[in-house]
Amino acid sequence: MSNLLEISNLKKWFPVSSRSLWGKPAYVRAVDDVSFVVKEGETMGIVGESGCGKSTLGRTILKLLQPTSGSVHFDGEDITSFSNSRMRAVRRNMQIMFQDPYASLDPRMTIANIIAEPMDTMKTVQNSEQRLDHIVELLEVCGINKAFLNRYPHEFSGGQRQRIGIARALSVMPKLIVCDEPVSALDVSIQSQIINLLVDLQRRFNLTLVFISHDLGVVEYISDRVGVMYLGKIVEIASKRELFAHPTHPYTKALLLSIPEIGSRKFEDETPILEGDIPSPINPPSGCPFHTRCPEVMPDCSQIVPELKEVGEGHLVSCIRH
Amino acid sequence: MAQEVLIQVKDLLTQFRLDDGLLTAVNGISFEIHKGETLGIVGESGCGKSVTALSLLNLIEPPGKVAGGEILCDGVNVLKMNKRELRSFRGNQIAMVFQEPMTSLNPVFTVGNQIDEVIRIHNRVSSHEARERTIELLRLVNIPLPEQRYGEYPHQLSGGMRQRVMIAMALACNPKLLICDEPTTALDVTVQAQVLKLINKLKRQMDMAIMLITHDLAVISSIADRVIIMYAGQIVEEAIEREIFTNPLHPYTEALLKSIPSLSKNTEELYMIKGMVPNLLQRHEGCLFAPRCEYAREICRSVEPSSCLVGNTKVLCHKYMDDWEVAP
Amino acid sequence: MSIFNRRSQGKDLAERLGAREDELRASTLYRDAWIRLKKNKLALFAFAAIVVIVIIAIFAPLIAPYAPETQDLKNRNQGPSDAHLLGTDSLGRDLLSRIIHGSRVSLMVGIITECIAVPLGVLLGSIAGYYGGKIDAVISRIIETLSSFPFILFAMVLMYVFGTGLVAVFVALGIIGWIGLARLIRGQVIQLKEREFVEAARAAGASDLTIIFKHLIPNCLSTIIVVITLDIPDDIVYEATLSFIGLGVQPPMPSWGSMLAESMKYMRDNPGYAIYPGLALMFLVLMFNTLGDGLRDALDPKLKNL
Repeated sequence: MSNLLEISNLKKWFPVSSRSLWGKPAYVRAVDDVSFVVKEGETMGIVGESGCGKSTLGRTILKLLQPTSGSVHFDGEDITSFSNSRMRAVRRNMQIMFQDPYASLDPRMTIANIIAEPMDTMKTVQNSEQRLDHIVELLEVCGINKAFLNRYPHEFSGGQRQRIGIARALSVMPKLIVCDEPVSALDVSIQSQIINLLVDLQRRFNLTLVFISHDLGVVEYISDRVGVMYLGKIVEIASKRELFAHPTHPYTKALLLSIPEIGSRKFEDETPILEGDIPSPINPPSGCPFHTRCPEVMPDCSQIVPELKEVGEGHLVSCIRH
Repeated sequence: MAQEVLIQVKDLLTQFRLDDGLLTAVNGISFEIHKGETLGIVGESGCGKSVTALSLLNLIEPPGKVAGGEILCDGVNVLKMNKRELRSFRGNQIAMVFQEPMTSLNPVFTVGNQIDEVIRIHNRVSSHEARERTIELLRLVNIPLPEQRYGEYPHQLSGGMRQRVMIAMALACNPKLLICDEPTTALDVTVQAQVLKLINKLKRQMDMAIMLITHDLAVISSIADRVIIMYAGQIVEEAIEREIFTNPLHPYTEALLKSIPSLSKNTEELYMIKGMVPNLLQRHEGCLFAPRCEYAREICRSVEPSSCLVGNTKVLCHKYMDDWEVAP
Repeated sequence: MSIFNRRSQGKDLAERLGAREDELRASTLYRDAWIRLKKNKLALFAFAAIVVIVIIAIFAPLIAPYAPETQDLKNRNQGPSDAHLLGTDSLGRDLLSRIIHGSRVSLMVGIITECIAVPLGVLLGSIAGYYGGKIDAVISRIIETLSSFPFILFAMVLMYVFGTGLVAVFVALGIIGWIGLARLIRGQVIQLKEREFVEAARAAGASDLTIIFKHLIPNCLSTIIVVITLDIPDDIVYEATLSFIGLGVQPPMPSWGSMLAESMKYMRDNPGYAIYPGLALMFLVLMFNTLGDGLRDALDPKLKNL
């Protein structure tokens, strides 16, 4: 399988207004030196807690946000410095699906027009007949009653709206879909419907997915490979099986220990789990970003910035212990 | 079970009069909360779990109304209390922690002031004593440097810290029951773990009962002693934690457990509950879960099931009633 | 897009999809709003009253018993009589006829002013809100500068430049009128552009202009409708004010404001001269305000404090 997406040293820093007039401008380092590749047809999961930069990463890959530095190669082309008009052609092959089923659909448009928006702007259909046929097909594929095509989003439930979001992303038959927390706003019973739909569509259309979520259970279910993010950096990346069987980075281990699981009374005893909160991305800790909370911290950790190193086949960890 | 009953809820019926009709959010449920236990209430959005909690505190506001039933605490019906009795009841007997700590804290006062205020509403103490108690409470909920945090404003704290402040405030008057409505939903996994540990510790230290409301089955399984599963305003299953998760009886519980992707499971395809939650504005016949249930028979669609006891599990389903074998 | 829409509705579509026609019907914001508005009897009455006034204004020459300029110097400052239902003014002109013709000026001011102010306000407001940064700073400073002028003073300066008369009134009111709307639209656009559907449009390759015209402005439409109905009565009062101080409509053309100004001199002898145009002005303004409140509640229950 060839690489569909290659990201190298990608950074996205947002300037924040600094308190003092003469102070150096401060930046939120939302994405800080991230590199990975996604192969065609695979699902790459990105997990991390809020504020770790995973959503920013998704938007920067799609160039909805212009990267601060680094590069994004898509389908063999370096799209980092593409202009908006050149991006339009690329966007046919890369689409996005959002978390919030209420904010992601324009309340003043019918679902037919919402679904068709990518086809309309990219002019992938020739006439209204074709357009309608395609909309109906998409509705059927995504499991929405086709008779509802002239209805407005407010008449649909959260799960149905996510289906509409999937139909919109699919309408131009992209190669890559970035799914930004697509099921975290949904109830358990609806969540499984959407996940199964995504898996089914991926197989049917040979889609490549970048699946961003804070829910390790969902990511484990859907992904082939998983990257763990902390404070704008990827701290560990491995195949799903490897990562969940042999978590190596202390943060990954802590994360796995913190997830409540059915049947495990994890929070009964006094054994400490991870202490403290995530530090501010405006002023990240020196050295390893995790050293302030790390249970295995060493004196060197605050000095040396660890790099991703291979510890097993396709298993990369950024920790100076390894 | 020889546990002392703290609060008894009988046939609670809470309805909302909306523009498009009468919505029955809680449909005649009965349950008990025992002293010192952690009771978990699970259900999907709109199943009435939060409304149940607000009803316990008699906090339902128009267009909502508790239309029937009793809530007995030490033999007194909470729903019949006057304003003064209610004020001392809330706080001294039951306190509540909400999902969104930012909106429950007043942004223009320091967190210390806000906790002081709660203490002074319920107790006659000097401002100095109140401050001492507040700092003690902040320490109790594992807030580092409580003297310093006392003078900080809510926006200066992280989400996890704010939730701890909310818990400290709820504990100000030593309530016998702490209701936590989705206390960790807005928090990250590692912070959630901290808060869950804290809740466990406080329960033991202060000998409180906890009523934990959440949609997250894994959270419930991790800390609850007894579990109530709600669906469309009804209690469909009630049992101790181990029973629910190892031997679920109600088809809804069973389906819910099957549809969670979890770390230890390795299934090819996730189980799906087909369809959607019923519209509670409409009248329904028979079992509310019947349209989505894979065991449903004719009787389920026409006759409302009644609660029955299987072992120590209370379940609302025709499958466990006497005439199931011969039912159409 | 609208061509596509029209073709994909109704029976044809129902047949094609094998669906029932009533399944295809969707409730839209405007249908829901109409249902809510129908429950508001006061707003409905206001709406009916405005329709009646518009009809009267259009057919004024047919309805009015006399031509508004016809003088009857023998019957000056008369009280109500069979010949003159509301009496006559200082030149013996029929008051009822002049009030009926005066409604034309008031309505015209309201409508034409909004025709100038709305496109300006919506366009500048949405551009400022969407682009932010320097563009927003420039537009916001213009708004602040214009709104810091006392309106009457501003109008007087304009009239000095362009001369007095109805057209000058339109221009003056139009130039001032867009400010409030632009402010509201700017605020709304700033909120809307953070919503994910705007990002989705960008991911679909939509240009800035498409996003503004297809997504942002349609989402502001209910605000725009409400603001128009609430601004029209302001315009009407401003016109009356300008005409009252002699800067607006020039004689012999009748306008409620100029009639009020003229009546001042005869207040004691002929109180009806002042009362009837005043009542007409008050009634029309009240009706527009009532309708505006009703529309606001119907279209967007969240906008209660507008």
